[in-house]
Amino acid sequence: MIRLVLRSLSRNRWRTVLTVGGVAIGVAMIVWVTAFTDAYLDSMAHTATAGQLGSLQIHDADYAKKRSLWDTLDDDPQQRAAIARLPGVDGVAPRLTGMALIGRGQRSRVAVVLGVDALEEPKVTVVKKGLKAGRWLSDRPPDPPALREVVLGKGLAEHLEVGPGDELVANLVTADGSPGDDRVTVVGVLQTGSVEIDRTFVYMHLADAQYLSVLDGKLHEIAIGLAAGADLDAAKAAILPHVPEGALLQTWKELVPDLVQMIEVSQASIWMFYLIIFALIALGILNTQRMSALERRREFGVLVAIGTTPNRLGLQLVLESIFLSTVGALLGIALGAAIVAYHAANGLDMSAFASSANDVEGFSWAGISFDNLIYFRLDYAKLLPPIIWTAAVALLCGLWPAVKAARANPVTAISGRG
Amino acid sequence: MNRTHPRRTLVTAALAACLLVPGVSASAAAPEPPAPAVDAPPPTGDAPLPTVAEITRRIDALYRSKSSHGEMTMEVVTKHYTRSLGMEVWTKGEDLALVVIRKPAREAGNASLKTDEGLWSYGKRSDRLLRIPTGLLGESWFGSHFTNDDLMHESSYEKDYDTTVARVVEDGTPLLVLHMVPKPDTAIVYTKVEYYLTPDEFLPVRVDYFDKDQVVRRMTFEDVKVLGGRRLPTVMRLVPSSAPNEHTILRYVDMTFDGSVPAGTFTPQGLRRATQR
Repeated sequence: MIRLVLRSLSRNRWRTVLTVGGVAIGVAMIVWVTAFTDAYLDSMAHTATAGQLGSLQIHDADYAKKRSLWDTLDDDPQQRAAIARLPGVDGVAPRLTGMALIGRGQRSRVAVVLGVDALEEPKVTVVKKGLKAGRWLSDRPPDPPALREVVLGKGLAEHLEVGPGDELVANLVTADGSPGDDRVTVVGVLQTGSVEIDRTFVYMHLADAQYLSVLDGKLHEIAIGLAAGADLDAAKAAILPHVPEGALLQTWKELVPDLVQMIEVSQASIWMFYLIIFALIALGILNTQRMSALERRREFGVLVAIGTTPNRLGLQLVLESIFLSTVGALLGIALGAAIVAYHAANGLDMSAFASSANDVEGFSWAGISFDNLIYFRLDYAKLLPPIIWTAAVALLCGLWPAVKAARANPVTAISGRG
Repeated sequence: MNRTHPRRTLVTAALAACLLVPGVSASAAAPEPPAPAVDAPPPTGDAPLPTVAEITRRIDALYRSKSSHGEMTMEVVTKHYTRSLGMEVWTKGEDLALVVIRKPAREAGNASLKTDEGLWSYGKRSDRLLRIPTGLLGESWFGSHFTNDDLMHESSYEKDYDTTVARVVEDGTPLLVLHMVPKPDTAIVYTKVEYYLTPDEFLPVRVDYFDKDQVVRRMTFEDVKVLGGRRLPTVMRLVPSSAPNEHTILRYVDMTFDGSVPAGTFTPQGLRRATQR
């Protein structure tokens, strides 16, 4: 029986190759699109967390609701060290956020001051990679009389017409209402692609920010970065015991629900795409099977005439279908996996889709910028559903010609009439 | 900020008479006879209603000066902190003002400078002047409930407001009230300002600032004394309606009017000289 199937398939090689090829290309497309979507959504989430958020954040519970200067956490290095030792945790970055008037002479602007730990912050966000000029904050705040260091967003630096080496005055809003001014020196200018960071952010040493805003020993935020692939919920559960009383631990998904929603919508809309591809594959297979059934009318007539039972004939045709779709699906997976592997290694350049008016490197959505290169990730578990689906579709499409053939009347079939 | 039209009125703040020339000055032109002597017999409640121009002329005479120099204290109570500042103040005309913090020692030497180029903040620690951009005019001035805008904002009473005058009686006390409604296209953030005065001397009693029908902040004038030869309220208390337990009290300690104040006071060099004293 198997031999019979193979022989009848090899009798018309073109037909077989076309059917197998149709299935293969369809499956390859599904594999590629799945990997692309995963990679795209991953990159979106990664950019959001690596740009500024971190994967998790700890705030005073009141600060999480309404960001008030006075709703602080205690600066507790031991507690942060304990969190940093947890598996999957890459970095634990303490932050103090404040508002400041920054400028020199006539030129001044309102800025967001972010007091950061110069060593921990780059472990949580990519901010250091965004440096366009100068350098990142030195590991430790320089001793007086050296001026306090700041790193400015590029837009802010351009507005103030300053670059590395220039001196500015920063006047921070203080917790006790007193003036919080001092001279600072610009050590670096950075561009992250996030409009918010680039136009309004001033990074300075945590200790300087604490001193100038009269919030010694206080923090507003602890941002926690996770290693790639670490499980967010597991990490949250592990960190939770280290969160001080009255504070709130939130994952980035809780912090930016809008982005999460967008990712979910994207995932849902992928199914539309699958549906279209499946329909195309189904039509292709159906057409080939039907043509082949018509072409082989005479052959089926002869087979029935020499005593092949209709059931046996039908079974042969179904087996042919299964064979075609299985080979097609396997080839398709091989093809799709090969393309995905290429993009996994080399990345897919998305810059062609970015708006050309955008002078920012990478493209951005809602103030969050994305890398131009998207690196695919091949998730083997995700390959199974396309195979099963395609095989099922191919099988269903093979059934109809099979039934039709099995019902053939040998006389009319052989004579070629009706 | 080189507007050339005559500057008038600072309705916002009958605040520091000097810094924030308060009140409601009428047309700057009108060369009128000097205001009636302070101790002139007060008009009775049955007297005809004074015109808006009469009232503003009187307030003008009370607060305006070619120059002034004096000492003030400011007490700020908020949910988060309590501050008590001693300040020295110079003004010249309506466009030039300098306020230098004298007390406490930790904050002494910080200053605010108002020139025709805008409002500047001087930090002792940075030893630099920084211009306050328009975006920050709504922010707190020296941690008080007064805003930078209260110092800068010059609303012209005639140009920016439709004003009517009426008599009211509050708790048995007869008062005059100026109902001031900002004209369309002005940048005034309040929907209405009600300016209460004594009916006889036209001394300010209270100013209510409205947002829609709500009073959002209230400034009261207390402790009428003769200071620098003028009889005026020496204490201004500002209370935000959103936080009735908070307040800022500005008190004149000493004041001289129309004395000699060199124009160089209101330059960066003059400011440094004043802060280092």
